[in-house]
Amino acid sequence: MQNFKVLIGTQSQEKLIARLRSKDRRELNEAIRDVYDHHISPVRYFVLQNGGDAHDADDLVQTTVLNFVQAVRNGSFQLQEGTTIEAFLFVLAKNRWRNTLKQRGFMRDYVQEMEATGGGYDSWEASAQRIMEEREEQERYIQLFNLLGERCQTILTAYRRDGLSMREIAQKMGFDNERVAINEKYKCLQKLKALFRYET
Amino acid sequence: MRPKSGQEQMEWIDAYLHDALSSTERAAFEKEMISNPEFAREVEFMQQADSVIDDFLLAEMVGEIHAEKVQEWKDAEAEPAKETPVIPLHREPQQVPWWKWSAGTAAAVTIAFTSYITLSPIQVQDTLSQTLRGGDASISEQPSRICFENFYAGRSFVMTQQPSQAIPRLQQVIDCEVRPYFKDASKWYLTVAYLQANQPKEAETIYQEITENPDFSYDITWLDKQKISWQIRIAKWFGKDEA
Repeated sequence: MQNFKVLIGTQSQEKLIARLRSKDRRELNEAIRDVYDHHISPVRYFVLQNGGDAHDADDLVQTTVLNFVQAVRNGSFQLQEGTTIEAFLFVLAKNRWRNTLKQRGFMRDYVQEMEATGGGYDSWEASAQRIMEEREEQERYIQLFNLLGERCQTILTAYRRDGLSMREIAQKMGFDNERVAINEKYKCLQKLKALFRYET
Repeated sequence: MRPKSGQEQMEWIDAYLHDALSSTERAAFEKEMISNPEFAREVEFMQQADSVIDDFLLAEMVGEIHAEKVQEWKDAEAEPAKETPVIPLHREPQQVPWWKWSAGTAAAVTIAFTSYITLSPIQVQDTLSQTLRGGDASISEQPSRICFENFYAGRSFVMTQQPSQAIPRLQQVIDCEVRPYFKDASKWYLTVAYLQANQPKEAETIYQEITENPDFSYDITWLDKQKISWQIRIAKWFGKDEA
């Protein structure tokens, strides 16, 4: 079993998954680059060979990587015995691309063929579908976050993006002191809560 | 004890979500959450806000990396072939005897063909077009999904010159319960992958299986056959085998 794991690179895949779950943003950044460098090329070729142009391929690559990393980080994706990261990326991308083609009113033969290949249902397909639905919902909330404006976005993200303390955030934003920064953060969160309420 | 003001409450929840409370404070916090549904909803909102902020930052990071990678791909595709410019020299026309001309042409054609089959990469075909869309394949004959994904990923890795990724996947397809066509196609891709990985002996072994099998169902062009035999030979002559 160990040899098999070495053979298909499962060990390195497990390491990559662990790095994608890292709280260290630098490590996460390098892990995402590894996904781009070693695991995403089948997705690009898939789109280019199946009715998409370079722009479609690049768009799908970005969405697929983002959805995959999010799924890894929130625990929706678990590496299973005998599976590979790129094969799962491929399933995610295929579902997205199938939807895109349907939206364009254009179903290529290959999509119908691929729908037929698995007898209609398996756990992977279901997992990819669930991740896609979760992401669609989360994307709506991210759009609401975008409505907050740059100032609130900076206040709410500075801690996680740059590891800044409230005092440093106050300095960066030109506030008088740390308490003002905390008060501003509170106001931004109230604004976000109102947007979420409006959405639901 | 739960803070009274909304702002202090936010700080309390923040501290809880980021593991900044002592065990006694955590216990008090969780007790408050159970007994006060309104407070529990507030915690839920803060968790959701945290998750959205994380995703926002992640999307930003992926977007930056993506832009860099797309630029790298574009640069790689746009890189012009490095050729030495040819400066034509003016010469007086000379009469060349017909036999010299014929011999020269034959030699040039031989050199050109040999160079072509030595240097030209072997094209991997779109198998789905050839067979799955062929019409007579029933669903029960289709490969299982994992085999199919490995087949597709393996082929893509051969196309993108990543043999170390392609080889284990294609080997798995050969061991799968799939119809012979997919096994045969995988054997051909595996031959190409071994050659890309500078393992001509392995490439030769698989290629021999292909040539000795009268029922081999994957269609390999005559030119690709010449290329693979010649490139295996060249790789063996120059001792490129790393195995």
